[in-house]
Amino acid sequence: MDRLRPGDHACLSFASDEDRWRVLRQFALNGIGSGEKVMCFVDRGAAASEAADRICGTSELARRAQSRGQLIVSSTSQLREPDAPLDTARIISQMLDAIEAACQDGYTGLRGTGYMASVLYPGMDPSALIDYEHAVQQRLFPDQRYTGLCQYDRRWFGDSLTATMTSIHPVSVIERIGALHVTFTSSGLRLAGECDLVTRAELAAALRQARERATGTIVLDLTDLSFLDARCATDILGLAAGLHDQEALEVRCGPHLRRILLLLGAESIPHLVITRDES
Amino acid sequence: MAALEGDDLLDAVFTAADLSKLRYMVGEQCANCGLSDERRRDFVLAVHEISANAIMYAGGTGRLILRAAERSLCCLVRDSGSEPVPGPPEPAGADTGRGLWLAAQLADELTIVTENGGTTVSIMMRLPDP
Repeated sequence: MDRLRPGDHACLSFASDEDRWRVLRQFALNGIGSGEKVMCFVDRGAAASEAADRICGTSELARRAQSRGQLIVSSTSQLREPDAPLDTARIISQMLDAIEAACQDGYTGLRGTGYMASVLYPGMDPSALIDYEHAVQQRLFPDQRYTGLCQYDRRWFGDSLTATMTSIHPVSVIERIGALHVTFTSSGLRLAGECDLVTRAELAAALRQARERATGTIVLDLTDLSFLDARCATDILGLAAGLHDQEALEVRCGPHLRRILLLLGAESIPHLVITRDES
Repeated sequence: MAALEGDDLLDAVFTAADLSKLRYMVGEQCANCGLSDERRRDFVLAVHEISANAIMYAGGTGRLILRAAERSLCCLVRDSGSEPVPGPPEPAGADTGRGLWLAAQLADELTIVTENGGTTVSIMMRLPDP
């Protein structure tokens, strides 16, 4: 979520209301902090005022943004008639107007999120949804004045269609805090989410596997890791400390994680190099 | 959660399963108080380390109080003073003091008080000038 940038078209797949509101809260706060106007379109079932309460939570920052018009929470019926066929051109035209208006008002851009179950109508073919996402991708994002987050509720769309919709979005957002996602790559390992005492065993297993597969340099990509505690950081340093000549560990991360690793003694480990996140 | 007193922003009893949510809630309060991104991440990590300490070494549960003063943010974690919950043994050579040490590096101040059989670890972060 912290790495979402203007021009990003992201997908959030979720199955719990608590997860959804927490992610939307973070989405809104990040946009407010970077000077964007934030528009949250909520489903017909949730009153806009109740949704605003869930999105603002205890955040004074969000409440102040709402009262000065930087944060707008409104019903999707503003964009389209409920149960009517999807009028993609009309939605895109309205969003383009909204982006322009936000920039004219002095904001750095517009950030928008919508509950995609509101887009469904009786008899709708899933291919219409895919076409809609492709059209939106082509028209709203190239000039990098808009950041979009499409919310796909697995309880409505089912796992299979949600997976399809996630795969056609350039960016996807992890909905569960506290989870660790491990992806093995050709050169090593990518971690996303959080490493702490709860997920430490998963980290240990992943590091072990990366070590077994390695030939030469293991690349450990931490750019999507939002939290790393002292124990897990020490486990990573321990992997490097146990390497032999001809082997190395390259850790890719942002400045904060780099500082933590250095504090914990990274500089004294010969087979370890920390490189900057390129994005 | 207990009823908040005075300038208490959070008051929660926690176990390991609550750590992630606690970090999120503390982070949100840091943003409200105007801490910079970098300092917020430092403080959340320090809060995590002192909380994890209570879980690992003092009964598996603790109480966290987050308190705002005029120019600083303070977090206290009280443990119950019970025996540590048996868990997987630490790997040989593991430095079990690392967490508290790191918290002391990241926060502006760290104090430890042991009384009545329990321990309170407090960390403080100065807030930027308004």
